[in-house]
Amino acid sequence: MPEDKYYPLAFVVGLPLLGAILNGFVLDWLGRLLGKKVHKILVSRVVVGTVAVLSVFLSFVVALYAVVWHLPLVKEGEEAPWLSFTLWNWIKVGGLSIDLKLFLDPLSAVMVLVVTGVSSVIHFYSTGYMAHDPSHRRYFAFLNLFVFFMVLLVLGDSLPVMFIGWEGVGLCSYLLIGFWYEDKAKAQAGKKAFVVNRIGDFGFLLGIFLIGTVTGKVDFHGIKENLGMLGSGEVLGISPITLACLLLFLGATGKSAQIPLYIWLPDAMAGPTPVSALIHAATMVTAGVYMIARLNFLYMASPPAMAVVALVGAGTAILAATIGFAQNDIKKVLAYSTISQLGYMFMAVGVGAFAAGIFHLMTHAFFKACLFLGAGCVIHAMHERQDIQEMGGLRKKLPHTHWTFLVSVLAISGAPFFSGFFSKDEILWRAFSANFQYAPWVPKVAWILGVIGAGMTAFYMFRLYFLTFAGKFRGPGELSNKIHEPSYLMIIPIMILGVLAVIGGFVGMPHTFHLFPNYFEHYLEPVLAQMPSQGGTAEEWGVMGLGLGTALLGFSVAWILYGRGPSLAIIKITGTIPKLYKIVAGKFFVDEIYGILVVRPIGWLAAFSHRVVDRFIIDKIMVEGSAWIAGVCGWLLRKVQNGIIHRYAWVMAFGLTVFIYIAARPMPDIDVSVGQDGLVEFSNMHKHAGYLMSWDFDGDGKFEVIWSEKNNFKYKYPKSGKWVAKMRVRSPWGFEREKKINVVIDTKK
Amino acid sequence: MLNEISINHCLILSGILFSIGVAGFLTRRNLIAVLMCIEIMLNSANLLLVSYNRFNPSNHAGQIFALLSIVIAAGEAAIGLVIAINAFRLLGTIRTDEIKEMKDDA
Repeated sequence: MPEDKYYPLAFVVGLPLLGAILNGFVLDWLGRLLGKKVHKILVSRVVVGTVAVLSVFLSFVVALYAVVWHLPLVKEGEEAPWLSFTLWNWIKVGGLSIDLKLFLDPLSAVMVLVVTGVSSVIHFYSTGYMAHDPSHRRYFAFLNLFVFFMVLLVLGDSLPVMFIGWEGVGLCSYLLIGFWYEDKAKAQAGKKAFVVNRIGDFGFLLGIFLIGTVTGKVDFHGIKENLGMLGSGEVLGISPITLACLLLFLGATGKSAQIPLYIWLPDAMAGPTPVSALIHAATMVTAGVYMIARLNFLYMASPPAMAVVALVGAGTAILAATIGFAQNDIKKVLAYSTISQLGYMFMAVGVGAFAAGIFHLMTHAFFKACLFLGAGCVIHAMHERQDIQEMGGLRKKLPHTHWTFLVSVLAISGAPFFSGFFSKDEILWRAFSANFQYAPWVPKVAWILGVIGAGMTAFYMFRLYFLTFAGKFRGPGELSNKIHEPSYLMIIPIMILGVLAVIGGFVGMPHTFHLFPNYFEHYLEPVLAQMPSQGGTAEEWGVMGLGLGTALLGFSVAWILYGRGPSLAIIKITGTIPKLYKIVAGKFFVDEIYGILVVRPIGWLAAFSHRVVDRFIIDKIMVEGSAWIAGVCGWLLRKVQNGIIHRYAWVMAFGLTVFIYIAARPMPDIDVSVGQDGLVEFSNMHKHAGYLMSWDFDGDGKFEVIWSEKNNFKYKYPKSGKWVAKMRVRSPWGFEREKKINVVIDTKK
Repeated sequence: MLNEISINHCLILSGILFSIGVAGFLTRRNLIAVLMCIEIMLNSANLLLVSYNRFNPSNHAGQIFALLSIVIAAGEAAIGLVIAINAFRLLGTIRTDEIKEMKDDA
């Protein structure tokens, strides 16, 4: 029962855009119009912050209203009902018609609440964090614009509309990573994120084109209806549905930082910390997971693509966790943790547990945003220091930050009854029990990697926690007394997120607990497919216990090695395997390998384009060449126009001679008309007095007519075929010219 | 036939006169000589006009054109001489290769 005129959706999208426009230029213009005093008020941090926070918060409130209004429509086991709002018809070409349409179903409802909710909290936090930045207006304009694009991405009804949001969030990500663009390294990081994302976006776009070409539809419902068209035939040797899924997944690996395109996310930490929390942890990077969940019917129809997604996700989870072991920058550890957790989400959707993937997306948004904002408080307190080797013992100095951070670390490590526990356990259980006919080993491998990853997660997260908050302060002594908690503008948000990190998981409690039903899964059931699974309650407890056990192991190791700051043991361990440690700390040198394999060849191509194409062909040959030609012509004409009269006379005489020669030349123009039976008439020669003509009609070298004064000649060719008639003209002055005339004779006609 | 003047004789004479005029026009450096050569070319054309008129005298167009041409040539010669005299007064020479006032000296 779709309703197409559900206005609130337009407000959910429009409010953040309004905020961006207001902060972007309207406030500034208005202020300039109304004088200096008003201008100062309008661009003050209070007004700008209020506009930014309110626009996003109101958007959240409207979204909440819409979702609650929509809630009674969702009934288990029925086709997903949705609310939609068509803004306008965007593209209409031939049979393809794309509406700019927003729509709300349970999946986008969850996403839009997570996005606007977490955004509101982080906007609020930003008013404290960015208080002393001179460019706070630009910051909030970008941040609001980001929320606009993200909501558009989530609410878009078709792949192209989603793509606008997809590109828009990428743009805002680029703008905000390079927010402090005076620092060249930060500007470079923004550029890297953008360029790496372009590679993924290219795949995404090709995927859209493929789906559009084959099915003729690009909106989600249309694709679902025409799914059969994608299943048949072959494109590049594989079925179009698999190719489309893999191309779209390439886009997801770019946006959601998966192998092989994850390299931009750690560098993206160059942006302000709330940006890392919002864009590079909670919302934008999960767009790929959302996209796959949105297209779950498509992926379910392509087992090979599912296998790729699951394995890439599990592989990324492990790889990023490994790198996270050896990072010393507080934000870099969190960045690799984000990559790893995104790997879990992809693993979930890859084994057909779409609801579990979205569930983990939601809980991850809570605890990872909380961790990043906590890290922001720590960095703030440490006067922009980010190296955890210089921290330690902050537990007493930053009590609120410490508690929320600890709660989130427990959540991400999977401590029982914290949100991350439920979502991660759900993923591991679904992976273990998935009945994947195409390749039964894939979910099992993913599960094993996931369990190992759970232990690793607990290890590196507690390593981070211990090094930051436990033990003694290892930073410079004069800093020690200056460390204090930030203002409540920053404390309240992390508390909200901390609470959510604890209780956020209860909506999706596993069936085995028999406490609540799994509300989350039931809510999403009408939209999301589910891979058939096998396995009983006992096995589920077992899987849960195993996951918990590895996490506990990871925690214990971290406690032994880092419980009171870096222990002698860890120094000894890294000392005995210096090479391995160096490789891990160097992030497996993936950046360097890409640098050699990809960046350098492209650099050569760019150098070639620059030096050969641009500098030589365009600049030298075309631009300077044309000037040179004009110069040479001028030089020659200057020689002619030398002011010496008798030279002019010579030129004139010469010119006249040429002119008279051309005028006096005989002009052998003649009409040829082919008649019946090979009779050809040559007539209407442009003949002046005294012209004479010779003819060799059959081209045998002998002239049939010699220097006749006539103007009309007839000749009968003996047989059909191609003939070459030769004609000579002589003017009274003795000039002669010759012309060959092709004659085609077809006597049968 | 030897004692009779044909059109060909006239044409050849005219051609010789014209060639002399052209050769002088192109080679002489003295402005007066150049003017004289131009007159010779004009007169070769006039000769052609009157000789065609002689062999085709139906309406005497040739003679009329020749008279017209002579009158114009007289005017043109007068102007030419005036230019020559003024050039000599102004520049101190009437040699065409020394008169380069038309060229910008830059």
